[in-house]
Amino acid sequence: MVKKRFISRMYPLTKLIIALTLGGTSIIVHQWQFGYLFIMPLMFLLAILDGKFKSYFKKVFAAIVVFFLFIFLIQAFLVPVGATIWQWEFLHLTVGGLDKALNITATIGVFLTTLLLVFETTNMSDLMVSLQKTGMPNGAAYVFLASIQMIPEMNKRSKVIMQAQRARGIETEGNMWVRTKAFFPTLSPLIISSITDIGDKAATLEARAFSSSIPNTFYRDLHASFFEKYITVFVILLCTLYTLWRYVPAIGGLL
Amino acid sequence: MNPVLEMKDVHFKYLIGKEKVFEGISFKIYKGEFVSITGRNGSGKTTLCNILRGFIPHLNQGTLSGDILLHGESIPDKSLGELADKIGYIFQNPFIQNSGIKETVYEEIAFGLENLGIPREEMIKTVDDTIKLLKIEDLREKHPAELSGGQRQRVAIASIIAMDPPILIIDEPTSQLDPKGTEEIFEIIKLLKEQKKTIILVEHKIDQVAEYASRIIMLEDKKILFDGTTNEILSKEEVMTYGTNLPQVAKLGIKYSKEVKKLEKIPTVLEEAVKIFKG
Amino acid sequence: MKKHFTTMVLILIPIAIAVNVIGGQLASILKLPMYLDMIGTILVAALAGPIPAMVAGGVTNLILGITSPTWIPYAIVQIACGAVAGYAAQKGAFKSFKWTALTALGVWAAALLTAVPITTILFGGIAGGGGGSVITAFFLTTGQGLWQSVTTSALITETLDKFISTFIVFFIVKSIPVSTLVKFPLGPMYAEE
Repeated sequence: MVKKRFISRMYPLTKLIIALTLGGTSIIVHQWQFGYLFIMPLMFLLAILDGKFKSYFKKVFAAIVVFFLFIFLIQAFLVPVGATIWQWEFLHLTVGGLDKALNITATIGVFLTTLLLVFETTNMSDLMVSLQKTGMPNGAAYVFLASIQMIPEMNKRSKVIMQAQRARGIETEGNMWVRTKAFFPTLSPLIISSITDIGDKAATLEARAFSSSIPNTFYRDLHASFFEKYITVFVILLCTLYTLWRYVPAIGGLL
Repeated sequence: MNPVLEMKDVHFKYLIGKEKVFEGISFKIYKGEFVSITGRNGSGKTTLCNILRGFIPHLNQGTLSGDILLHGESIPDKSLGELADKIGYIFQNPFIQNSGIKETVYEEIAFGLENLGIPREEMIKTVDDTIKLLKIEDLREKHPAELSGGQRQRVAIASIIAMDPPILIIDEPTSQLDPKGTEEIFEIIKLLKEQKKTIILVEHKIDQVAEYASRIIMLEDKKILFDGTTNEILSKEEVMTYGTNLPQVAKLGIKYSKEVKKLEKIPTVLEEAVKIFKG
Repeated sequence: MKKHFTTMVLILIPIAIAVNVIGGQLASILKLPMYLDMIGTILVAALAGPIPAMVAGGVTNLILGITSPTWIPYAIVQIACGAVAGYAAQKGAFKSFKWTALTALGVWAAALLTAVPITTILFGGIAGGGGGSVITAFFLTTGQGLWQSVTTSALITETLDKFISTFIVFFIVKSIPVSTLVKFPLGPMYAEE
């Protein structure tokens, strides 16, 4: 097994809280520099230090590129605000538009890069255990983890069914009506068979004391270290100070 | 001695369905007994097991009357969670029998113990012991969804016996398995019998029933038709008219007894037959 | 809470979530001009009522958010649609064709009322889940305002989608064996006939 670096080793809930704090801060402060010049480069740096850069970068890239291009196209060029900086055909780049595009993308960028780093470096079962330890009900953890296992499984089964349908002569290509008709026979047997199995599945879970009222224990041994407990507080504190600095004129704020 | 499980005049009808499944079922099961439930398809074997475990009426409603007792206390009045470490249940279909949320077989087996709030050190010891007992060390780190039917069934049994219930209900555990898988499951059942667990088994493979069960309860037409020791039931020729097969040696014994020489006792397992025919 | 989330319902929800995700994938594999990513949510609504449906819808987008976090805000759309469909289901809407059509209308309205503001305000006009953005850009070039463009674009992508999804659920409920149906909170309602 590869030795886990520090971000991957970090307590899951700590990472999640920090990511959400940073995202929330970027909404409140509304300053594109925070995202573009600080958080996003920092997340890439952390991904490099954690040895996860390649897969992390791929995911960020896939999530961001087309999306950001569209936002820039629409906000900066198609919704004119203020003076025009540059013009071509029907595209007008305006000062206000550019500023808006930068701000929207910065906020989205902060959420995207922080959350993707959390998910890239966190095992979902670990995250659930850390949430259950803070009082999240077992049912919620079950729903989340079962979904994560169910999706690829059902995906596999849907491919098998689709192949079988094709073999039986149901067309999956052609005009839209033909393709729409292919959707139903592929999905519905999957749904009905899954639902029919629920009764037995419920008995299976009950046989394992699923609805027992005794408080759960966990095989996964996770504890937040002293450092992990206080880094959360530290980050929240810094973000609060930044927000205050941004909005309270007495300490250099802008409003 | 007080019975571990008891049914007194139980009647049951599913919410959907016109006819009753049971009309007045009564029996007592004592500690350490190995009872096999037989009867033709649709005679209510699985329904009976479901009632004993409380799945009926908790998960599957219907009209249920009569007393169903665990150590004298009403089973339907207990919550399903309360019963989990008292009555274990192993199902027919190996493919739906995992939690669906665990990443390794090891964690799958630990799932029930987590739900029962067993401290972590004890949990680890129990899971390790169970894996060793069932000889599934090779599956330990595998993903539960990537196992064969036979492997899944063994993991399912491991997950239940890790919780150490004194009573086990085993409902056709091998009906979807190949001969090798079947053999492996019966090796485990033998182990459980040696541990003096109270076992209720539904199984069509009559040679295995003859070998392991100490008592047979046979269902027919909403009632219990026969209830007696394995040898007593499996030496009756009429059993075959109610959709339950007899072991080959018993058939031989019955024929021999009729046509050659009257036997005092019809053999139901091979060793008995050898003893009897040797004289 | 225990009343809403029986073990049966807790197992139904992940299945519904997978159905949402696979439905969405299939729609894009078959190149359909629809999302079809809410069938599971509406199904939970029909079998278990509004609260489980809201959970199924919300968690669907949280899970999609693991790989693309821009899906997360749209959880609100799923939650709103689940609430509407679930409330209607409680009143017996999925028992008749006519009321199913009205439910579809309600789901459609809930989707528009939530999706349009999220796209416009949070994402500056770009649908976080993909699709529709090209249409929005097109309307913008014809000189329409941002809100108007996003709304028109949403009308095109949402309308057929929500009606088809709701009716698929109507037919699925009819195909589920009665013995299974009755184990769900709203199931006995469909078994009466």
